[in-house]
Amino acid sequence: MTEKLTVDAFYAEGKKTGTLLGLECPEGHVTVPPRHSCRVCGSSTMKVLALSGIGTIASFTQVYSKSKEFPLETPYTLALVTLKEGGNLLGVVKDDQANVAVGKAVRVRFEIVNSNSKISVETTRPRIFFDLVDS
Amino acid sequence: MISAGCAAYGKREGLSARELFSEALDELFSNCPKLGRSDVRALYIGQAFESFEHQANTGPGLANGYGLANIPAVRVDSVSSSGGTSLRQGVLGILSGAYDLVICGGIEKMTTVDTLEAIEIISMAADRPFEQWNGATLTALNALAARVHMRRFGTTEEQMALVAVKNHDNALENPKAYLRKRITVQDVLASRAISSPLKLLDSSPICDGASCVALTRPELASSYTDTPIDILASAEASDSDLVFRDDFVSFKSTRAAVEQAFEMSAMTLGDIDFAELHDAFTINEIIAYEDVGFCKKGDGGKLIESGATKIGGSIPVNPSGGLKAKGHPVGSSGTGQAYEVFTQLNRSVAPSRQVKDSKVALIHSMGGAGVDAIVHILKARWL
Repeated sequence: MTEKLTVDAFYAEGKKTGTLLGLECPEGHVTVPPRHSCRVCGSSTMKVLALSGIGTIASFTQVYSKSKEFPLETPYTLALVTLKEGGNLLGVVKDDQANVAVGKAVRVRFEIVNSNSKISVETTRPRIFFDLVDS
Repeated sequence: MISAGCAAYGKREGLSARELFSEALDELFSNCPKLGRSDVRALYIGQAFESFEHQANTGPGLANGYGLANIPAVRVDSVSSSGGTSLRQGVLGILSGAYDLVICGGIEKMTTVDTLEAIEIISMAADRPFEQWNGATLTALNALAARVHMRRFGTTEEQMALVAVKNHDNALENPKAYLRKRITVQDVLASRAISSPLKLLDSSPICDGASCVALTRPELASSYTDTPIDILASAEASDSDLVFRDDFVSFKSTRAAVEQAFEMSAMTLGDIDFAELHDAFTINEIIAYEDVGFCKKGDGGKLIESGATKIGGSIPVNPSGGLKAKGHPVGSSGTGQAYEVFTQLNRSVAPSRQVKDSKVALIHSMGGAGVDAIVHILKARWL
């Protein structure tokens, strides 16, 4: 039987326990962020699994545009992180910019950032951040 | 394709998208005196964001406002490639046999809000729950791709700057272009960071615009004009949002659409005399060179350096000035590219930017950071 992982359940688990959830197809491909079908082979038979939350920085950028939607001080460092088990996430690395580099190891962390989103489910939804860790 | 029109791109203070579209239609009808409003059976209109003017009801509003009364008039959206999608929907409408003649257009009125608000609206093109929500703007997604390209292939910020310099040069004598100003590599490198490594002058400008083309069945074209342009291929492919992909230096949607387009048209790369490629950010043009096949993967930076893509080079790219300098009023950009091809092949552009002896052109239009790609191949029938 296939298991579903909604966006809301993904973020709710992150907020409650800090656990990063993903999906796995019968071929063993990991899909994060969650969606209906496997990002590698398209299978819609998926099961939910807990991931390590560890990954490496594949790319990063310093974002200078201020946003009401994303009220962090600018510039902030946005990273594209490839997770150990497969799949990617985007999130901010709240560290000295000079410490951020491609290939560095990070751990996922969920944190609430208040914004004035008018979308009801978003008012309690955490954001994804990355902390640098020793690889 | 029997006619085309384009409102000048820029900060068109005091004019709504509907009014700008009327300007484009006026030019389209005046370019083709045998074409009457009652000949038009359907209107397709590309528009990415209705938030700029707080105006939905795009299709019926535009058509009936201009006196194209009571025809089907539908808006299509594939974000930054909406104009390309509009053109393709028109092609399909003609091919289906449903219509003898259609107009495909695009609009975007963007200067109603300040720049930061505009960036927030444009960033709706990124995935809401996982890209936007965690801090990604559309510029940031392209910046992430740029950094991977730089690391893997040695592409430099100077090479990206050369794309901007070339496209600004091309726009100098294009009356439809917004940024008709020569810039240098130094200007680009010294411009402020937007999302590193992309800077202000690596980015296409936020502006207003509208454009349109008229299509008819091939056998009817000669009753309207002596100089019709045949659409040999119209191909489209989509892809997942960037966060779901594993390859950040090549866009699968572009590669798939290019492959289909060459198969459909029975043309090869060597037949293409010039191209309008999607250059919302300078890195996009470099990646598009590679994905279209003008050079091998990773060599896009060297291709711009070689000068091959300048007007007069072996494969001129963006003689209009591209989205980078002509402007990127999002929904209009795709049909704006088609307008450029129409005027180039009709030899009605300024001599300084005319691609000499050109007969066949390729148009590439991309949605978001590669979530959609549309490729058209066009040929002047009389050449």
